[in-house]
Amino acid sequence: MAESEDYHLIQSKCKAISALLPYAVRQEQGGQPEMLDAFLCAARASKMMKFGWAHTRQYSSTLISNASPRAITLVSPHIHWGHLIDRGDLVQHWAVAVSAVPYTEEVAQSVVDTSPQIAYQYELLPYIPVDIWPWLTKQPSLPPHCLGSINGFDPVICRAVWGLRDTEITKCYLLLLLSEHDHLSSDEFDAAYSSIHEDFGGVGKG
Amino acid sequence: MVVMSLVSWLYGLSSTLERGVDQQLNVLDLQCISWILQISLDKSVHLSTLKHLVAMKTLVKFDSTLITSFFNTFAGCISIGVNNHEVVIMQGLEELARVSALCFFSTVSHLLVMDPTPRILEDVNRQYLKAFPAQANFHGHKSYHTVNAAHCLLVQQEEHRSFSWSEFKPSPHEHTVVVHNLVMVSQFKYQGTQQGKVPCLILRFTFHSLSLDPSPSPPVIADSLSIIAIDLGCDMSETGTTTLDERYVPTSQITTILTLD
Repeated sequence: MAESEDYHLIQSKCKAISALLPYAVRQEQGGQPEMLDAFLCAARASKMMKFGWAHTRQYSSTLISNASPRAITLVSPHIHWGHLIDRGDLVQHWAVAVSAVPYTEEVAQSVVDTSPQIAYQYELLPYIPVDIWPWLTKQPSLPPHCLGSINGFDPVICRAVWGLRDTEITKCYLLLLLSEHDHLSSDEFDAAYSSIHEDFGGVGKG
Repeated sequence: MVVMSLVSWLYGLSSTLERGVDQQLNVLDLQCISWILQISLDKSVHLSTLKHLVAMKTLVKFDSTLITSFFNTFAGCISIGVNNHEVVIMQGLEELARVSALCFFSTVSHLLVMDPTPRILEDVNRQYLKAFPAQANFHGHKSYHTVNAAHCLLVQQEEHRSFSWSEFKPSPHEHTVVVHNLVMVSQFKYQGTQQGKVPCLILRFTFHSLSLDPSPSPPVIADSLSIIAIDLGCDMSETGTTTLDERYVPTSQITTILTLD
């Protein structure tokens, strides 16, 4: 009950928390990360598939272009990638930021949550550098209800990951994202079947 | 000449007034402003008088007809195309339009806080709708945001979805005046209410202000954070005149609110 009340409280304050984001990002650039950390904490606690106020979407491009690598990487799961202009360039900005930020469990969570979200916009798949996918092998625990795990197991993305011809990455992808699903569509099933059959052998339909 | 002398006197008076100004003097100021606007036909006198009002930090009890005066001054600066309903500001009256719009916004905000008598609000709204039919298009004009926001506050239309601050590029002074009024409205009208939420119109303004590049002045940031803090349920104490130190929202306070679990 208390958890439900907190959820509704945070949900109702989502707009105000989102309005803080530009200030939090500036503070973080100035060496004061506390406000950004508070934003991220609220976003994780919200249990909403996509945290954030729709009105703030226009700020996402500015954030990806100007914020620190850490801020870009950690806020990226909460960006509406489907609504951006010049998305290809922004994905490249994001990838550069990811490569510049030191590894932490939190960073790995964000990268693994974000990359399937970007890939789910199929035309952005080619913009994801191949060195992003090995982040899957870190196997971070994804937060519940995260959009990356919900959209991540998709036939097109599955084939793209399989196309890397890296058994470890494919295995981690299936472990992280397939395990989140208790029901697969026939397309998803076929993609998973092909991948498992080709890479690991011996798994048959039926 | 007498009017000009009076305006000069007002300026001289304002320079000697310090914080904690005697309310009686403030009331006299406002009465003089009202009187000047009524009797003078000189636009430059109007402009000087309005600038004086914008510079006043606090507006104590004032005659609500002042709002009508400011609105009429603004309306007198524009014309509306018969066919395309496009609002055009008359040449040479751009600054008067901008300052009168700001005065209109400030006094509407103060009226909402001090004396939101429905009759007065309805009267002003009626005049607004008479001057600006629904199809009037004054997008792109510098005064668009302040006048439109004043009208939204006036009719207490909290969800004004078509209204956007994205093109609002105020001067530093204008920005300070607008945010100061909005934090005042948020504090007195929405803080501590059962719903506890400030209207989207005000929250959108806050987001716009904090997103600006370069970032706005510290007092604007402090007031923007105050609005967010009010929306998040923080209790902002009434401290009178805004100062950065007194109104600054400590990060720890917001962190506590954000991380309830």
